[in-house]
Amino acid sequence: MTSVSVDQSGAFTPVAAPLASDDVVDVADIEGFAALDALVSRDRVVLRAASCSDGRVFGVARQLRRRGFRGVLLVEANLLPDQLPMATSCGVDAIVITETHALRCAEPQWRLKAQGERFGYQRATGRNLSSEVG
Amino acid sequence: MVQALQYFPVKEGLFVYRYNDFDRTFLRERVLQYRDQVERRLSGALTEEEFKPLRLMNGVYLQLHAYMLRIAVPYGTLSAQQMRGLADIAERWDRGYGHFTTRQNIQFNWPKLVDTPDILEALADLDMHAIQTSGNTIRNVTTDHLAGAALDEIADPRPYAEWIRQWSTDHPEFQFLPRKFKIAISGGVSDRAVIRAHDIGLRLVPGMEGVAFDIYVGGGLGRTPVVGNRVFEQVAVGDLLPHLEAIVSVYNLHGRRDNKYKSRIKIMLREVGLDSFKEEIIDYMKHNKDAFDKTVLKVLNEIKDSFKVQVLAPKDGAPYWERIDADPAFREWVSRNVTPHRQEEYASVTISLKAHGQAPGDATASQMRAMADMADQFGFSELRVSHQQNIVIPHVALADLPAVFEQLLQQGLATTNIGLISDLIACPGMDYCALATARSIPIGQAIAMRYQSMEQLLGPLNIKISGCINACGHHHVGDIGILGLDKAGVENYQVTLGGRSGLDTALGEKMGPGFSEGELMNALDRLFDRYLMLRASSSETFAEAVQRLGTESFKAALYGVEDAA
Amino acid sequence: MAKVQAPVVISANCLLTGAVLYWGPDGQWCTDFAGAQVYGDLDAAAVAVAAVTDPAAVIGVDLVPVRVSNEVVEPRHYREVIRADGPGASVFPGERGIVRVSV
Repeated sequence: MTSVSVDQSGAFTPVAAPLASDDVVDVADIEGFAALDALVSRDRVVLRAASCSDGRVFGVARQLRRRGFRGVLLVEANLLPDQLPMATSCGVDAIVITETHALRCAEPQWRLKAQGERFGYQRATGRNLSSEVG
Repeated sequence: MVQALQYFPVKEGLFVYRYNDFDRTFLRERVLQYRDQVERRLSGALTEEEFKPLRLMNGVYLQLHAYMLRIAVPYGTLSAQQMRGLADIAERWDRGYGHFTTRQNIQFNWPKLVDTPDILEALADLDMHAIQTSGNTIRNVTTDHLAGAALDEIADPRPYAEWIRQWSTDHPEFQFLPRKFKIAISGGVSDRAVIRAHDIGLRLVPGMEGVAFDIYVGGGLGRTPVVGNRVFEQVAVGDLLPHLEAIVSVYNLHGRRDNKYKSRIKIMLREVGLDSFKEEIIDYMKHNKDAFDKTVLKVLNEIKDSFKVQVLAPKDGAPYWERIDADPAFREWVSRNVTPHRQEEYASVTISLKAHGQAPGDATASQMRAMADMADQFGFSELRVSHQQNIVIPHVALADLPAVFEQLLQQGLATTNIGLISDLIACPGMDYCALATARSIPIGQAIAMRYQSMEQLLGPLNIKISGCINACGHHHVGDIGILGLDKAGVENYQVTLGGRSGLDTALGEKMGPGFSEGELMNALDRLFDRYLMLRASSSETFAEAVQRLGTESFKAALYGVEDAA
Repeated sequence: MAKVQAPVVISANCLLTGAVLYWGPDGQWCTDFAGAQVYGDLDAAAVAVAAVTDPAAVIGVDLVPVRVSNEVVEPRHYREVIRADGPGASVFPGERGIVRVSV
């Protein structure tokens, strides 16, 4: 089973080899934000979630960045194109989705969602987005 | 289809939040996104499972017979023009009426999915939206319906509520929480927003520099009702959003996702423990010190300008006093439906949406227009939705009350029952709701009709009816709570007594086995007979009598058994 | 959830309008309960469901148990009576003499 990586611009790249299991952290196994300190010095972290409605990936990604993680941050879950800007604003570099999911949620949909200024209210109320401080 | 709108000139500036270009652009964007999502659903690009959270983010539910659109009335405040716009929407896309909810919102029960993008666009024209009125996200922030008008106010809570609305709107981390998340805020000495029945309850208190917040966490009704406790005290205004963000973040990580009935923050608190929760909050805030910059207080101050307290022009109260002397019906209406105002020559008028036999909280388009016209003419164009499912005109000169009363009489809106038994609240129940286990509206109608002739005798009494354990009718905190369940294929109603809202919020005590609809009415007959017999004087309310005597004797009356006492 | 017992009708909600729909003998959805095809056994109903499930047009295809007496068909559960008749449906036994929900 191959998968597809969707970057911040919505562009697809086929993922040939399975993701290294050492990099993968299931968000359900995270005991607390303090536990993220153990991941901060890694080159790459893959946050895995079981479904697109598991919003832990967003909060965990942002806290990982805020705690100093500078490496490549991936989310492995079949997120919806509508969730790409949320992930991006939380410091996620790319989303890894299954090929089946990629067929239904095709690249143009992701590219469309990648456009435009989002999370305006957070900016407008003075909240620093992680991409600015990470 | 839509009538030509007739606006009365607004004599003075509205005391409500005024949308800026940014707010408007945001809403337009959001409508476009939603329109695209509906199109993708109809084309099959999105499955129902994927589309559901997206439509819910925009207030669109699928109910028993139709879709339902829940429109946000942020902190219950709306302008006359917005109310008139809602009337237009009711006629153009729905069935000519709307339902005001216990969360200070309005919902339409019959929109078509294909029309919902157009409705959202019409709402955007009114500076209104349906964002985060459903789904597992931070919901509409509710508050005191007398905010900015109440006598006992420490500070108007609405600027803070608007600030929280902006911070939480489309928050990238909080659109997929374990479950819905409700915040209420109160600015009065007494709490009219039932803050301790919310995931987070905020109470404005006098602080070292101006006001500060006491933060209550983990309240909520539903299957496992819990009264929220004060977790943080005297939080400075500048620290409010960092605290809220920390609390919701920790909940997002730890809240249970495996069981819908255990997914609220109240259960999480019980599982992780208060001390550990507080430690995590402190650790979180340590790592997020610079999460907000200085703009955040500037934004608050701009919002505050919209709500600036103004001294209202004094008016000669003579017409009011003349009518009081001359007209007992007016006098009665004033004593029930009118509340004193922070300014002596003014008052707040509650318009009852509880005419006997009507569905509580329903208003027709023409009633909405009439209320809007009255607000324009007499109330600085401002209206409120109360969590008791009534409409409030918060600032009316005493001198104008006779004219307001006349217009209400003409519109059939002068029902003089605020605080009485027929001013009950009820969730939509199984007449509309897909989650309901029994009907609640017909129970409310039956009670209002049955006790109409004796409601003055019974005095202040609040009945709250929910059609399932989710408790949208807040039955746990009613003097009398009624919970409708499905018992082996028959509607069955459980009674609780002794619930209280306010800062001394208490959960009602469950009396025993439930009743069929017919039995329930007989049980209530006996209950009220017992109350009238036992009360210390005609001024002792039902709630006070239950508190003084305990529930034992009342329970015996409900079940028609001999009182051992 | 109690186990579904035959006889049943097939119901769903319309994707476009949300309206309650019933599967009729003509192989079409209709909005009137009286037009629903009654299936005497669950296997036949399952075959029909497999044929009607059209994700583009409807949501939540489900079996609704009914009671048939003297050729009158009615849903067994009051929830389904309300779904069929709309808000204010009279399902309490006997007349209660109260005003119905205005629609």
